[in-house]
Amino acid sequence: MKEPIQKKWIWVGFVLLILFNAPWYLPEGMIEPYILGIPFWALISVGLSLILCAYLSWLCMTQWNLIEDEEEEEFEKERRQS
Amino acid sequence: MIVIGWIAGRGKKLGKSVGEYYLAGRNLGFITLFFTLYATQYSGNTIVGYAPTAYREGFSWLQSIPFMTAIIGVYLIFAPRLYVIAKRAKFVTPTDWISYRFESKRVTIVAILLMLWGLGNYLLEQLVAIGHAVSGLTAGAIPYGYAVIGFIVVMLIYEWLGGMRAVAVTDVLQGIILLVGIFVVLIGALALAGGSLSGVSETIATTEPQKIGVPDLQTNINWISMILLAGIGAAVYPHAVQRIYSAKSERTLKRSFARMAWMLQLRRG
Repeated sequence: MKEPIQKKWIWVGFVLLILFNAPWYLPEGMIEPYILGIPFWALISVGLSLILCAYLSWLCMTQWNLIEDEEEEEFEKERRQS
Repeated sequence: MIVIGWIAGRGKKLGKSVGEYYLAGRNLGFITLFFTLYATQYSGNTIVGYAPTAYREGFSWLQSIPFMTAIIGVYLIFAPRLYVIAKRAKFVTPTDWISYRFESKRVTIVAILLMLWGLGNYLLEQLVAIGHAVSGLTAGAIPYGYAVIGFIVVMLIYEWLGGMRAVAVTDVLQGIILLVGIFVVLIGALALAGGSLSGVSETIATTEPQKIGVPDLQTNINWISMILLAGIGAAVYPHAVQRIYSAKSERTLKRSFARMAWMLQLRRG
């Protein structure tokens, strides 16, 4: 049985990804360098957003399983009966 | 939309079962659930609010990408257990959980009032957005008021004909329109701006450097606050909670969330 709220490391990772999404750690007003026409700092932020997205998606698929097995067994039984 | 609503409700015992009408018989499959959750997180302000905000604020509005993704993080706090309890206790509305958890009519009534207050604002926002959108796109040929009334009539008819199933199926269509629309708008906007990202960035850097540079500390604090605010706020939309109840299975629900995390990013980006 897996439930995300029970695992502290999940929330540490989540908070860190949110905290570093805003570029507070870079000098105010910095624009250059550009990469593919976009300021580098903006690409860092988009990159961290993508990591957040991948992280949450992975958590949903691997760290959440409360009654899935039970339900799948029931569905399988129903399929066999029908 | 009305035809889809009619087809969705045809042959179903909508008038006889509350669960069938409000939760589509608790049988929404992966594709439908995914698109209905996806469309639920988008509203009029996505089109008439966020794009103009990006224009006014500049690159700091990149915060709108993670704040939609954070919704999935907040779902992970409560949705897994809520789905299990809702299934066992046969919840139909979000306040069923409040009654179940607190066993207090007063708390339930307060929750209902708060949800209605939130939903009232949300609904008004949709009406204002559709009114402006239709009036603007038709150059005033269809006046604002008529667009709003037309929207309400269409919405009420398809919901009446097909209940939650109609809402979910029309959400699939709306989700696809949203997806296609964003690419068309993106390509169109880039073409109108000269076709080059470098050119756009350089123009902004010359004319309004504050919109392209690393924002100040206050903006950064607001950025993080917005991620938390939108993540928590949108995850507990009463109509989003109802979609958790409607999932056919835990597997369907978690797969929908997993895909939604990427789609929210794509859309917002």
